[in-house]
Amino acid sequence: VTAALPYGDRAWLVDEVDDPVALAARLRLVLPVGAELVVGARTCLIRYPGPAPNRAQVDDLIAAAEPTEAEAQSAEPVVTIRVRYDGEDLHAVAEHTGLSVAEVVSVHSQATYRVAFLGFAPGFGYLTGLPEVLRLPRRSVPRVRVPAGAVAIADAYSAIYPRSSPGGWHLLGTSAEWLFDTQRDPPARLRPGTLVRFEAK
Amino acid sequence: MPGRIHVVRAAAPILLQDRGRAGWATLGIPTSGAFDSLSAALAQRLVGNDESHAGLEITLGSVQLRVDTTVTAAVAGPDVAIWVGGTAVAVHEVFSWPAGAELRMDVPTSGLRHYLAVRGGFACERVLGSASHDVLSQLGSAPLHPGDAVALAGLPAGPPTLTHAPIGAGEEGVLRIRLGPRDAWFTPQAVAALTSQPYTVAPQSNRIGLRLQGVALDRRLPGELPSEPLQRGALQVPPNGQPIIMGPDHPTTGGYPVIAAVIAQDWPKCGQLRPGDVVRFALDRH
Repeated sequence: VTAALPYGDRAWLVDEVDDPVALAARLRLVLPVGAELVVGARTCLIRYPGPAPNRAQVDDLIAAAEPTEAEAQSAEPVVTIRVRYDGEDLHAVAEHTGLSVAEVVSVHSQATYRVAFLGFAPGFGYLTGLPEVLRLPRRSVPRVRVPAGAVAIADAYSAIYPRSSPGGWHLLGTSAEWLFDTQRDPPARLRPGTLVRFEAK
Repeated sequence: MPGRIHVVRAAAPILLQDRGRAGWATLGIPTSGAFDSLSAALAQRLVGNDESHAGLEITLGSVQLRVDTTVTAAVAGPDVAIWVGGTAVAVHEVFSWPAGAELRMDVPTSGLRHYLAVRGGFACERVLGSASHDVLSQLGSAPLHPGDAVALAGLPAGPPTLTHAPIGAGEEGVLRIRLGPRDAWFTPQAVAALTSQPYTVAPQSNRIGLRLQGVALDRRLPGELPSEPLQRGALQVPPNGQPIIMGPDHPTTGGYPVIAAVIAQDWPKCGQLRPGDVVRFALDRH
């Protein structure tokens, strides 16, 4: 059941949301100017620039953002990421999943993904839609440095590292696509709801 | 002619900070901005600048700066000894900083961050609308080290409306919190401890978060949450039970439960807490 949880005096956290991306899209239409929405895996944070409204007002806001029957399915952008499947963990992933390397590549690149939320680093999207067979826990020892453009998987997610950083995900390949660039508007290639396909090259 | 301020000596990197880049968190971009936003805004007001201007965020004092053109300046923050060309000036005082003179600041005996504003502002790199250096995401103007310089913008400024601004600090070491969003994940004893026991600021603290040491906050529910958005002031509790207060450069999402959140009025105060300081949490009665 969707419920608003208190979060300090400037925010409310909407919990138990089936589709936080869709909720955020509807909330955006009824929120006051200056308020900010941040999407999580099952939650949506409403941030206010000043004191947050009281619970009754937030409940009204969430009620006003209920999906309507007539709501048109919004067309999410599709981003195609070309990948060279040469990741350091490709063979280990094949071993753990019982698939061949070619099968890992084909299973990973044939799925369609959706950005559930971003976090960890600017432009780092958590992509849902990873086929069950590829779901592995994170590496027990994270890498100190994962290169920019690394295409990786962990748990139920796939992701592309926008910049070089530490990381505990399994590396399947490398992409040369831009993902975060402060000179562009918006600066992130992925946003909550973006559909992503990987194309082996 | 706009000149530059040169960093002769600095114990810690000096950061340009303004009000930050709010509005991008859902793309994974932290808000950042001056940690003690009240002092940062006061410094700008003292020199007649708009409060949106960037100032220099100085951590634990101990700096020596030189300017190559005469400017009007002010420093806001905790009490500290400052000399400009050998003359003592006070915090929250507007002063003329003559060309070629050195500004020296001691280590403050309490508090942590100072904000130096110059009339006309700094000409610095802005990223997504803000000069603020974000230490987590490495965005914004580059940190200043000894040997570095920052250019003055010489922008038009209004008439200074203040000449001296003593400010009364609130009750020292008390941060007001509201429980939630995940207080139900903790034992009643943990919630009671949080609001009755002292917590000490640990040395690993920075602009990303203030790490605290004290009575461990035990969980009633095990496990992690699916990643959820974080908020400034949130008291996030990792498995060791020692809470972390999210600072201006905090990551935008996280999987550890947040037991309570510091109210916005007390966020600037968090920017003045230094390792070894003791804080207590009081429930905000609203």
